[in-house]
This record gives sequence, C-alpha cells and structure tokens, in this order.
Amino acid sequence: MKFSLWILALSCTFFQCSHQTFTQGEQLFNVHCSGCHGLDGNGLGSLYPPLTAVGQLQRNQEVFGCLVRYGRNDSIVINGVRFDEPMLGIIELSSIEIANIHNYIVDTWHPETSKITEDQIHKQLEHCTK
Amino acid sequence: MIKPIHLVISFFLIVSGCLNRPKKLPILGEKSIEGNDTSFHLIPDFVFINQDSQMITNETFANHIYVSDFFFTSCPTICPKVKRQMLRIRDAYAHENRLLMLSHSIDYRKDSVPVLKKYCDKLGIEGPKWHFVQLEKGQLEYIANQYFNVAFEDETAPGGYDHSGRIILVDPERKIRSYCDGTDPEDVDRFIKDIQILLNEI
Repeated sequence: MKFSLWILALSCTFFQCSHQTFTQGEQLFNVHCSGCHGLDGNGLGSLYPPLTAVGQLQRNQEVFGCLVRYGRNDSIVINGVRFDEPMLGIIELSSIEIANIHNYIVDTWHPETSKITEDQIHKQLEHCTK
Repeated sequence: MIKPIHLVISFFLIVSGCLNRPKKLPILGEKSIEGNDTSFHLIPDFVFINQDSQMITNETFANHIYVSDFFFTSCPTICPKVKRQMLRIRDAYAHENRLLMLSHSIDYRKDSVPVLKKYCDKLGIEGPKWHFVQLEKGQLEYIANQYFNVAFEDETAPGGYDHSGRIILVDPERKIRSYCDGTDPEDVDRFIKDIQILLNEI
C-alpha cells in the first residue's frame, strides 16, 4: 500500500515536471505578448498579427530570439493579410525566458515545431542585426 | 387582530417592492451643493475632428450615451488590451443606436486624422458610432482628468506617453455614470451590464 502511494506520488511529480517547461513561458507570454497577439494567439484585426499561421514559428525559429528582444520594423504578410505596425522588442527578457516563451508557443499552437534550448537562443542573440 | 393572511400579503408586498425597484447607476464625480441645488461633475464642451474628418462636439452625443477611453496608436502596453475590450463592448451593443463610442488619442504628435483612419481600418471599425479623435498638447491632462483618467507625456514610458486604461460611461446629460478598468475583462463584464442599466433609464 505504501509502495503504491510512492509510485503515485512520483508519477505525479514526473508529470508535473514534464509540464513545467512552459509554465513560465505561459506567464511571460501573457504579460508581454498577449496584449497585442491575444491570449488566444489570434492577433487583433490587421493591426497585430496572429501567431497561429501554419509553419509560422518554424519559419521564424532562427530569428526568434532577436525578434523578441529587438522587435521588428518590416512589413509581413500572413494568410494574405499585410501587417506593417512595428513590433517593439522586450530588451529585459533573458535567453531562458525567451526560450520558455518559444516553447510555450510550440506547446500551445505549433506542436509540429521542435522546442528550442536556452543555448540556441543565446547564440541567436549574439548575432542579431538590430 | 393580525391573521396569517395579513402576514402573507405584507410579505409579498415587501418582497415585490424590493424586487421591482430598478437599479440606477450613481452619478459619479464631485458634486457641489448650494441650498437646494446639487451640481454634478459634467463633461466640458469639446470640439474635435474625427477619423472621417467630421467635426464632432457634445451635440453629436446629445440624446445618446457613450463610452470613452484614452489611447494612442503606437502604444505597446495597455492600449491593445483596452481596445479589445472596447471592441467587445461595441459587439455587445452592435444593434443599439443609442450607444456611441469616443476614443481620445493622446499622441498629439503622430495620431493625425489619416493615422487614426488607418488604425480604424485595421481594426475593422467603421460607421458613425465610434469616433476617434486626436487631443492637442495642451488638452491631454485636462480632458483625461475630466473623464477620470490620467494622461501625460513621459519619455521613460514605452511609447512616450503614460496613461490609465479606464473606460468611462457618460449619460445624455454629460454626467459620468460608470467606469471600469479596461485591462480587466471581468470588470468590463460588469461595465457592459451597467451600460444596459443606463439604457433602461434613458
């Protein structure tokens, strides 16, 4: 009886841990990103783009770190809609925070995209063209 | 002698009195009382040009109620959240012609009529019920305060302006009857109900 309780406790911990990777990501997303991109990731009209378009995260994965830290000023087209509002970067987010936001987006809207590590984000941030 | 039937009738009279009394929104803001007269806080006279280059004044809102907020188009922080809630309010009362909306931009530098028009287009806002106007530099703090909001330039703030996210409800006599925190969807839920209460009153 005691043994099965231990097994139960351990498996609960295990499942908690495996979901832990994007909890901070979710909180950071809600604080920093959801204002414009929406809690549902659908953006706002043709003012702020959605994050849910097919393949969107994959296409931007290599510049994700730079996007989040420094923003972007170019015009983009998603699902036939043009978005040309500048995106402000969030300079105070660390590489691990940016990685967690990325992985929250994977888990929520882009399960087909691979998760990213802090190390990969760190390397991206060394090469941003601002 | 009091019979049970008296108690039953009294009970129903009391309860129905409580249930039928319509809830009315308070009149908010400072009041001054002189003798038997009470003066309430009123929205002052205004003249603006909206996103369709139409002149609007208090007359535009006479015989209507309206909701109002403060924002600027390049605002990265609270404005998108507040705008989402304003859109919710608009959608909740899409067929109600007695409700208008007035959004004041506090970016006296950049948010000109064409910029406001483009912003409205991007948000799918059209038609005569929702007005977007640009405040002048000298008006920011005064007008914001009149609507129980705060707005001022602050170069350390993201976007260059600091302001609150309150949404205000004004009645046909220019009195403020309700407000909410536009960044809090639950507070906006309550505010949407307040709008119906005011519509029932007018």
